[in-house]
Parts: sequence; structure tokens; C-alpha cells
Amino acid sequence: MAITNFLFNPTTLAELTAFIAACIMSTGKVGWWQNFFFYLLITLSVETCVHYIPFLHANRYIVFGLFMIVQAGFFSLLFLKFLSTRSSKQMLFFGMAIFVLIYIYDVSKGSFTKDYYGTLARKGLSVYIVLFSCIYYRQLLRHAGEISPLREPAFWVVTGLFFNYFVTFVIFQMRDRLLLLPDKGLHIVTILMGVLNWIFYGCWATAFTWRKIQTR
Amino acid sequence: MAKNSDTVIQTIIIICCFFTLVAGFLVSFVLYFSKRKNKFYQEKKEMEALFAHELLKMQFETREEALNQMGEELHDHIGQLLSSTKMLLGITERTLPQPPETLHTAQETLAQAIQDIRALSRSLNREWLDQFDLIENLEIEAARINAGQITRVTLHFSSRELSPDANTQIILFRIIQEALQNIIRHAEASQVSIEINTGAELQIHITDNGKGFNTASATGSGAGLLNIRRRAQLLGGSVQFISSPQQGCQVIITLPHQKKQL
Repeated sequence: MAITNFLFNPTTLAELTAFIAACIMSTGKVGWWQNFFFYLLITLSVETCVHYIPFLHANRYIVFGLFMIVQAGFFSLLFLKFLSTRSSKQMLFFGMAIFVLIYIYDVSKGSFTKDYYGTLARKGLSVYIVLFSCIYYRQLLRHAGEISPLREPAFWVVTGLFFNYFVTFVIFQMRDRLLLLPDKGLHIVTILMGVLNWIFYGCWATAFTWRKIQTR
Repeated sequence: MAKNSDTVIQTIIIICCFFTLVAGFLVSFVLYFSKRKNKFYQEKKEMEALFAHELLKMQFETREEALNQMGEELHDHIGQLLSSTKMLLGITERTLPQPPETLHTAQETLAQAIQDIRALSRSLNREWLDQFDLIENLEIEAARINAGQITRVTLHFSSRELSPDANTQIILFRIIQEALQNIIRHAEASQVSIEINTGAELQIHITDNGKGFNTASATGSGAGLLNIRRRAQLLGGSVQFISSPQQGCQVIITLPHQKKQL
């Protein structure tokens, strides 16, 4: 029962879909994009371990807190790869430094022992991603020459991140009120997160498909 | 309590939808703007291509006009001078009791020069150009080169009827003339074959057995090759040079049927 609950969870299904797309993409010569396969493998492994290992489940906020370092690092690398101007890269390093400071602050306060989504670091990461997604879009609009964003794998990756982190930021601002709501089988947060994760990983799966087509 | 929680859920869903729409609006704006930008670049590219085509057409027309004037000048001025000279030589020959053989030879040479100038003038005449026939002119050109007995030009046609209009045929003739001049000047070839195939597209193969050249280092650098390329481009066609040192050369001109009319 627990297995089906986990497997048929909308978030897990979305992650699995993106992971399968990443696996298919990785069969070709996709270069740097191969890292998505490893990132999604780590993501799935962490979620599975947290779900099935009681000790990790009990300390899941700490595990997710540690995983946030992997997420922030990987997303920073993505933007480093997608942003082309020197100034935006400098801004990226600056943003990363601020995030590290916020993260250290959260660790020193012991925030990850009690919560994950409500932490300052998680909110900081959302702002960081939304900001650099906007910078990426600005770069796309200023790009000299013809470009078709819908055929750009990078556009889909950034759009997925942008949607997810922009709307989850809003959701977690109302988290205290959401948690007070009665659980009628499927909690409203689970439904909202499921929809957002489908948008997020759907965009990523599209990005992997385009990347595969481009390198065929 | 249940009613209150339903209201909270509705509010949250509305807020989430609103922010999803905001995100969606931003992404849609990026897509819309990119589409408009692409359209602008497309139009710019088309305009540049049109401008380049018009420029080439103008250059061609100016050149043809200059040639036309030169033809008229040759016919009306030089031709008349040579005819007068020939007439004077004839008078001189008749007045001399024993005219030298050299005078007779000079008269014959002059007659040949007048004939050549008339032919050249005719080939540069605008009215004559309007009824231009590529095959007919290639045969004359081949005969002219073959008379020199250094290079032998042979012609092969799949059909004598060519679909391009007279203007297009003139440019094709000039391209072949340029290629032949290059062969005579630089290739040291003894055999040249010109093959014209009319199928789904018009294809002209000019093959020689000369000393050849390295296409990688020569393409685009020589004025002759550049002229050939530009003229083919004007017709919406393409040119391919296949050659290597001591292996002769093959020029392939491909022209889509009726793609561009001048």
C-alpha cells in the first residue's frame, strides 16, 4: 500500500517521467546535459530513501536541507551555463554568496530540524531562481538574431524552474494557513504541489526531448 | 468550520491560479516578443536578399548597356574608319602599275578585321541580345576558339530548346565565356567539354583537361571565379568547382527552372 502511495504520488510520477526522458536523452551525445540524469537520479533516490527509511523520514527536514545544497549548486551551474554575459555571471556569483550566507544563518538557528519549506534558505532559493530566470528571459529578448525559444532546451529548463519556484514561493507564504486546513484524503498542498511538479518536470522532459532531437 | 475551510481553499486556489497566470503571462510575453523579433529578422533578411539581387541586376544592366554602347561605337566609328582605309587601299592598289603582294594581304587582313568587328558589334547589340539563343552563341564561341587550334571545345546538349528567357541565357553565356577565358588563360587545357542538361533543373558542366587548381585555396579569391559565382547567384542558381592540381577542372552550374526571371 505504501509503495503504491509513493509511486502513484503525482510528484513522484512527474519526477519519474522527467527521469525517463533524461535517460532517453543520455543515450545520445548530449554533452553537459548528461548531468540532468545524475541530478534526477539523486532527487529520486533522496525522496525514496526519505519515504522508506524510518530514520531518514524522522529527520526528513535535515535531509531536504542537505539536498538543498545539491539543488542550489546544480541550478547555479545551469544558469552559469545558460547566461552568456559577464555581468549576469557576476550577479550569479553574488546571488550564490547571499544564498550561502542565508543557508549558514538557517543552519546556525537550527531551522532544518523543525521545518524545510518555511526556512529562509528555501525562500531565498526561490527568489534566487526567479530572479535569474528573469535575467535569462531578458537575455533571450536581447539576443541578436533569430531564435525560437520553444525549440531551445534551455528555455524549457528555465521555464520549469521559474513556474515551480515562483508559485511555490507564494504557496509557502500561506503555509501556516494551509496546514490548518483539514486533510480530506488528499491535502490541498499535495494537489497544488503535484500540479506544479507536473508543470516543472513536464517542461524539463520537453527540454530533454529537444536536446535529444538537436543532437540526433 | 467546514465552510470556512472551503473558503480558504478557494482563496488559495485563486491566488495560486493568479500567480501561475502571472508566470504564464511573462513566459508568453517572451515568446510573443521573440516571435515578433524573428519576423522582423526574417523581413530584414528578405529585404537584404532583394537588395543584393537588385544591385546585381543593376550592375548587369549597366554592364550590358556599356557593352551595347561599345558595340555601336565599334560599328559606327571604328568600322567606318576601317572601311574607309580599305577603300583607300583599294584606290592605291589600282593606281599602282605593279601593286606589291603585301598590299593585297593588308587589304585581305583589313577585310577580315571589318568582318570581325561587325560580328563583335552585332553580339553586343541590345536588339540582338533580346533574341539571344545560348546554344547558337555557344556554337559560334566554340568555333572561334577551335579556329585557334590550341584548345578544342566540344558541345553536348540534351535539347536545343532551353526554357530560360533571353536575359537569363545571356548571363549563362557570360558565365560560360568567363569559364572558357579562365581555361584559355590559366588551365593550359587541350580539351574542353560543355554539356547542357535540361531536366528538373538546368545543369551546365564545363570540363577541361588542364592543370587544375586547389579549390580550397582558390575559391572566392579569383575575380573570374567570383564573377561566375555572382552571376549564378543573380539567377538564383549555384556553382560548384571540382578540381585538384594536374587533374583538370569541372565547373557545374545548376539553375532551377524559371526560379528567377530578370
